[in-house]
Amino acid sequence: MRTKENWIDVVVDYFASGDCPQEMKGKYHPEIVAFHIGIAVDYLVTKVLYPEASRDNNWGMLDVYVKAYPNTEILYDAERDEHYSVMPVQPINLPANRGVRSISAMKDQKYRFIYRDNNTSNTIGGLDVDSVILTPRYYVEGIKLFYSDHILPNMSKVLLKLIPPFDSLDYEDNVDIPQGYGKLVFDLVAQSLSGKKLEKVSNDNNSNIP
Amino acid sequence: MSQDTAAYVSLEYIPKHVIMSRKEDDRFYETYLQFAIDGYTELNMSALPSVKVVYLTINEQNTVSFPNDMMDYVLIGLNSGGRIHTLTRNRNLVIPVNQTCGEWVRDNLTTDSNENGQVDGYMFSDHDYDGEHISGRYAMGGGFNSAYYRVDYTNRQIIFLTNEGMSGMTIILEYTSSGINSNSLVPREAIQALLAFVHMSIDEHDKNVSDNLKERNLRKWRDQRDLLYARRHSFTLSEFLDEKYLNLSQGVKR
Repeated sequence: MRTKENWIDVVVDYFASGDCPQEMKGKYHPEIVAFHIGIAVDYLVTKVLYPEASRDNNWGMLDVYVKAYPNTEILYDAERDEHYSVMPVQPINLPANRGVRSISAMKDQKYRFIYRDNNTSNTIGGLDVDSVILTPRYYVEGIKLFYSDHILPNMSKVLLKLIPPFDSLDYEDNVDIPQGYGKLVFDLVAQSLSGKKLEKVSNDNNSNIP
Repeated sequence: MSQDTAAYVSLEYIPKHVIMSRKEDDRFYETYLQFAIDGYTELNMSALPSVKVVYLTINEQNTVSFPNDMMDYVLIGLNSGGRIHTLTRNRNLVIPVNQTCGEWVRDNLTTDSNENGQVDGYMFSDHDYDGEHISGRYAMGGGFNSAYYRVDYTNRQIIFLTNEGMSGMTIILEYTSSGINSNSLVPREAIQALLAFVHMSIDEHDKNVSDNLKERNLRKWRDQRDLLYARRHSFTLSEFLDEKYLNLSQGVKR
């Protein structure tokens, strides 16, 4: 498995070598290449891997992109009378906020918070489930995660598992590109650098999906 | 060393099982949990009645309010000096003014037998009261009747009448409960019925599911519920023998 740094090196080398199109050779600064790798990898996750995971109910596909953020603090917003955490990074935007893979107690991942859409708190709050099960709920608001009243008063930190975008990864973080998709990353970076619209990459016969 | 599986599981077992069998992730957890609660309530009303006992103090208007989770009552008794007197139902009691008259949902409860003058006692369910576990408290029958009650379902209250004031006295109420809280447990034999209910509820609201499958889900739920009812209400061997010998008489051999 390659780290983020490896990927940048490999792609930068590619654009410095004779293998890349002549008009692109040696033209781009490594930082710019890194930025476009981010676009390509995020595109791969959101437009190729996520639809596959969703179609096959194979959510484990997303797990290799997960990064854990331990000891994320729980804060209190007095104006709104709500507890919240600030996510260390803005996760990749997937349907139903699946970029947030899990929120749990630091030392007990079985104590896992329950996801709610932002606008369903009022509706579900009126159902039995709200009072019968006392596990904290969370909803996403931008970079913040807001928690329901069920949160335990003595809880001060949580373990977040997020799918961060490529830009937010550290250089030594692993970036998993599934077998067979490596060439695609090069092609997508080249397309992105040349300002072309990213080509359809999924083989689903649906022109509305990239 | 592995342990035997428990005879009871938590309510959360049901949505987790559904998510696992449908290979979904946890985004629908809360929705499925609500379906499980709905199913559990359904079973409470049929195959899995949950009976609770509560002690309530009669207020100055000679009424007590239903507990929040009470669906219907089973027995009403008066705690008088440590002895329980079951009370007599009286449908002619006046409901306090400004209250709407309630509709009778269930007319033939065991307490009706009080009016027949039977003096057999009634066993109250095991329960905890004041930090003490009370098992099988025995109450005197209606023949020792000392007070009357009427149940006002609309206003969720019970009205009492006696020659002496009852205000401040404690009644013992045995009732069927909707029976769900964060500690609720599901007996293992009810799991399949609850799973069938949740799967049925999920598919019922999915426009992509065919009517055939919806119908099959409904049939499966009914089958599982009936199976549970049958299991819960089947004779044990000793009950069967009791029943057999109760009605057995032997004549003289000739």
